[in-house]
Amino acid sequence: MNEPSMTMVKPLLKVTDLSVTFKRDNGMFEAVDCMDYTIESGQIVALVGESGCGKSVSAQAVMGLLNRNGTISGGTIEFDGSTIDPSNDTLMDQLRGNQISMIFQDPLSTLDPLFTIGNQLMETIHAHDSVDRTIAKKRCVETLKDVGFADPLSIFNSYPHTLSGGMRQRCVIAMALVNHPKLLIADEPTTALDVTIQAQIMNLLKDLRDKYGMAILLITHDMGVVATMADKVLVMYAGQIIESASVMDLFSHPLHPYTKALMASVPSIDGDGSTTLSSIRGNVSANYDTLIGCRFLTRCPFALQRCMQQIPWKDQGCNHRVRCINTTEVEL
Amino acid sequence: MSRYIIKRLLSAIPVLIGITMIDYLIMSLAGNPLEMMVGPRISQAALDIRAIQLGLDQPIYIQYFVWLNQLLHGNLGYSISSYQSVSTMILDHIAPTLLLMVSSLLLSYVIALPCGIYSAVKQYSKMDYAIVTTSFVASSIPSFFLALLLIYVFSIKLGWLPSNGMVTLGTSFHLLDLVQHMVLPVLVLALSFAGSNIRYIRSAMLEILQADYLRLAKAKGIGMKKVILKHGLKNALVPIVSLIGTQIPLLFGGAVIVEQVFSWPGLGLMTMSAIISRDYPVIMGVCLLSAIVVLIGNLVTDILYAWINPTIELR
Repeated sequence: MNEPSMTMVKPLLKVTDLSVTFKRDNGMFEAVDCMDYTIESGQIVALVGESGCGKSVSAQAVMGLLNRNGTISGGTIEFDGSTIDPSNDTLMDQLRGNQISMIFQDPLSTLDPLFTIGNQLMETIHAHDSVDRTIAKKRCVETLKDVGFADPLSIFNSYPHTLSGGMRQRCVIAMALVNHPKLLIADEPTTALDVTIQAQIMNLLKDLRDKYGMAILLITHDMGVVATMADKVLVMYAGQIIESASVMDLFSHPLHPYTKALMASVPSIDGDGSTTLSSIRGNVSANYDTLIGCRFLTRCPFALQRCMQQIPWKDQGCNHRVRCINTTEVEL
Repeated sequence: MSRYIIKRLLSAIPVLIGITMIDYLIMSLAGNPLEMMVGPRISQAALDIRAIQLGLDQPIYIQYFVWLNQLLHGNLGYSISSYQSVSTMILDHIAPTLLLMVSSLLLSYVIALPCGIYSAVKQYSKMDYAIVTTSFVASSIPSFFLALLLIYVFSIKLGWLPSNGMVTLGTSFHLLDLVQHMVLPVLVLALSFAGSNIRYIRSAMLEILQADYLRLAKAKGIGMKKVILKHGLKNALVPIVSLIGTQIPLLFGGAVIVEQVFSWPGLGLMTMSAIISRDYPVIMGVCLLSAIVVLIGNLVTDILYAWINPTIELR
């Protein structure tokens, strides 16, 4: 399930020129700038980048879950063939939890402490489906079983505080999948969990993708996870997508200096230990929306005079696109 | 649960005894009943006899133990000025006070919950500013002043509502009549509490609206109404319930003043006259009662707290 064939299949999610702006004390801040991507049915698309580069915000924008001070300032979103308006809560509530679901970073704080897992699962079903209580409960128990609980009935009746972090994230996943959505947005679903649980959750997501056939937009900053999970990768830097490619292409021929640097900063188990782990010098500029040319300019070892101007997209074929003018010279 | 309640009630006994000791000490420092009798026609010898009759010639700690001994035998003593039994006096006056307190508490939350939630959900809107300002004014107006203002408008100018008593004198009991008499005193007490409750609920709600579990609830598509009224409100109730516990003693004190203004035949009126005439047994009876009200209030709060919040386990 790598790159889609070029037949005229409509993508499941088509995001065009999406911009997200936040109101700050000292003016407006454009956190996401002209973001473009598509997700096909059943595809796992990874969105990678450093903290604070706008990954989560762009996903929240699609779900209509931006904080009060954030708005979508441009672009269109098409889901399953029709344009959606994330700011319209009434219409979005028909999609959210039903067609598009989302799971979040910290399972310890995303479950309401005052209601049982069962109650929180049931309300998701009842919001979209006027089914009988017993049928709804059966569906909940089945979903809990699907996310790996051996004793789903006791989980159904427990309160979140009696469960561990990994178990809670499974419950959140169950809530997201109970209505069999077409798209699951996973916003760093393993960041708050310990390493052994991380792998379990990632494997679970992959298995569930195969079982339920939904597409996944996986937000992460872990290149290892990207390599094992994704079909397609979007690399994001300072509010912009700077490279997009299939996972094979990206790992075999990364083009953008930032992508290369990201890969170089992953420790390798095969190394003899002599190579030092490289890091990218500097930080993402705080007011990155004011930069005109390449936003990676100040941290890029290959910067040229021309990089100060607008950088056009460069298409390398096979759906591999990069926002860099100097790709040929770059060799890390 | 019942084990927990029994444990709490037993542990309340030493606390109650401690409170009465302090009360007795403060009360005796404030003056004694004999001072009220001094006058040109009373001889020193008569005062001395009265002091011996009342046991006031003894040191304070002996007086206290005599009172405590009486209490442990189920006797609150007799009023020095009216010779009535204190327990009868309290039983006669407690119902109107409790009626006033409970209705004010309920009304204050009936006002404060919707206002506080609305204000938080529509933060920085015109309506939010209006609610916050009004609540600030309501909680900062002294209750006796608000009471006089309401009496002036509704009783004197408009003539809609009675301004004193609990029933119209000379008529038989009638529910509508009682409610009419209740409106003004309940309103005065409820408004000042609603004022601070609105601000409390608003800030609790604002914090919860930012919580991750509300974002998940929204992401499930259950609709904003359910997100706020189910997940938001129940979580906001956790701090609000503990607020009720702290308000019960305040309400008890507030009722004393409001009862004065509206001549409400409750404990407040009785307590005021007892304090003025230094009627020791009555004062001690009321002090004991208010301590019990506070302790029971706290117990009820803790039980409610555990009932709402499953992460709390009473042991």
